[in-house]
Amino acid sequence: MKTRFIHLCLAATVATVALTPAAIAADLTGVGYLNQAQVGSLPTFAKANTQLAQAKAVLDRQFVAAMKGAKTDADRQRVALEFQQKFSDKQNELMGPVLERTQMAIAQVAAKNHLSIVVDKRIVVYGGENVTKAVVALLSSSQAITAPTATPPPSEIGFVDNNALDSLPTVKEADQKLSKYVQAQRKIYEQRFNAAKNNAERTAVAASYNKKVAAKQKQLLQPLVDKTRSATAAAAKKKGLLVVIDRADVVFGGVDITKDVQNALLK
Amino acid sequence: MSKMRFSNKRALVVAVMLTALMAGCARVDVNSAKIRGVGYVRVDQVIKHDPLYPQLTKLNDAIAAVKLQYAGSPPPSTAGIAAQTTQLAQELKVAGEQTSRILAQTRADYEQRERAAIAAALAAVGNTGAGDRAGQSMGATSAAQAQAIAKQATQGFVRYQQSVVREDRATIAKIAHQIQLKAARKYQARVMEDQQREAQLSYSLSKQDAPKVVAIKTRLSNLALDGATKKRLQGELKAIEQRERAAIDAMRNRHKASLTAYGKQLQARTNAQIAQQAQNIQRDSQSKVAMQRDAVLAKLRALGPAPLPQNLSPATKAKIETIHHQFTGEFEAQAQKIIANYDSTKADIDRQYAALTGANAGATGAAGQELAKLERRRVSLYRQMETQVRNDAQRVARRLGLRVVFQGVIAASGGYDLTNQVTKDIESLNK
Repeated sequence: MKTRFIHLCLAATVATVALTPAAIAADLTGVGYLNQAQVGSLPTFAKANTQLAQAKAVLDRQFVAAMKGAKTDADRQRVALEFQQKFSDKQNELMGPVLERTQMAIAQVAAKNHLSIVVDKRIVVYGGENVTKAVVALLSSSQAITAPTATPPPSEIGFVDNNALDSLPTVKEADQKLSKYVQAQRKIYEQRFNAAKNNAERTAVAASYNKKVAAKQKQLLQPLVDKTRSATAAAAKKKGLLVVIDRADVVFGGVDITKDVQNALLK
Repeated sequence: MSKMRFSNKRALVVAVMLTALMAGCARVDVNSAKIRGVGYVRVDQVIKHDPLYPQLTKLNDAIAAVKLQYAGSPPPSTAGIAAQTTQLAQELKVAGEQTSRILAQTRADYEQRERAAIAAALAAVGNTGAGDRAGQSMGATSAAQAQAIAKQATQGFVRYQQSVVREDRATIAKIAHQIQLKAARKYQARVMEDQQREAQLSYSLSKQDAPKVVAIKTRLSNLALDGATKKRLQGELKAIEQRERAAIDAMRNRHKASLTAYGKQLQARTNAQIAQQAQNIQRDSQSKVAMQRDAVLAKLRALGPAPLPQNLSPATKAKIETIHHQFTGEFEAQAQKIIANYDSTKADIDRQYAALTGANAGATGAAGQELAKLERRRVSLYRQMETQVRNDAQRVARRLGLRVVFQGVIAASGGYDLTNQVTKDIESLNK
């Protein structure tokens, strides 16, 4: 009887410890998430997008006319750059104020909720704090949005700009090699595909093509991916970060370690 | 006494289970400084173990197949092919008309120059009415030229007729191939859809029965189980498996029957389509050949021979003959050049037409639509699997007491990686 009682006490203790770890979890600084699609569909964004589309249509017509007048490659390049700049200016003019106000609203909501990072909803599988409603409410109100006075606590979540890492010479070279390989294989497999007698053969050719390209991709890019991953993990460790995500998924806050990773990869 | 022993045994089992649970939890201390309540899952890796993953691979292969088939520029739409064909036909018509006009103009020019040369020759020998005679003489010139042009026109017509027949055969063969290919792809798509449904049924049945199966297996793993209970539980397990298999087999048989009917229907439709297309092409060709024949006949009628002059001296006749031969030769050489120019234009247009009705014939934008459809299905399937992974990861995260879990993590120097645990869950569903 006494033994049973001891067992029951032990079971209760173990169950409490095992089933409620969150109760004694170390204090992680807040992680928020935002449904960017929902924010993007607000009337202010829709209006700015419509205006931008109209401006682009006008610029496109002007661009075609200007290109007709361009006689040399240098002229064409100049015209292309000129119109790219014009479009970029228009984009900043129309979208800039809207984006700035949104960023301010997110910062204010994040500060109010003590969040050190706000990410895109898509990458949060579990937990976190949904700030979409608060941000939408703030943006929909007529009140002026000011920058928060209190800065958020430093985040344990870091981010890297994948586009910047993709422009490293080693990555570019591997990309070019892969692209050439894919082009060459495509020609070979197009012939095999056309020579195939029936659908089963054609499916087999397509599957073989996919496998071959995937294998080459793995051979060329996997070492770079592994190297980048370990350099990123090392940089994260140095800065006391737990995980590192892509810059494209970060809406606000976080710690940028792109430069650290770039430097490590260039060594 | 035996009751007491049984009670002790139960307490022991509970203790063992709790120890195991505690050991499991000790491995995952989500409160540690290294994890701090943060988890992540590599969705792309887990998805490779999903029962629906083979379907995703098949879709990838199907997408590659469409891309390989229509490599380079995207296939034109039905309207695009029609517009380009009309444009090419128009270009050919214009080239033909231009050639006829140039030929007629050249002929008139040579006639005039020959008439002037003959008039001068006749005037030199003191022959009056030189212009009339020259005009009559021109009749002879025209007759000879007409013969040469008629010969060329007839040869051109025969060449045209042969090229139309050749083009017809090639186009019909290519269109038939395209129609058959389209039908085969439709059939294949149906097969894939059926397979996907079967896999989904299998998956949902396993998922539905999973708690029951796990419970039975847990009970079966109990060493203290008596023979009769063990046998009963094994029977239950077998019954579940049989029920699942029967449901899948029933669906498979239904699919097989409907697929056979669909295949027959598709074959009949394909044959009818090919016959219809062949009929259309032949009708168009016959009309094209008839038009060309009429044009040649009209040209020949216009070149009809005129009577030869009667009252000329042999010397004058000989001189006129020389002038006539000279101009005939020059005109023929010029006409050859004009016709060669037309032939080259026609060959160029024919090449464009062949390209249009060749590699992309029958595609009629279907490839683009099919590609979009396949991509949509791929995205939908991937999302379905991703949702499953996210749901599983949420369950594991809740159980472990994590505070936040990410996907799409590039690298980690801390946090807890849920990938293996979620993969095992997905695999157990698969089993």
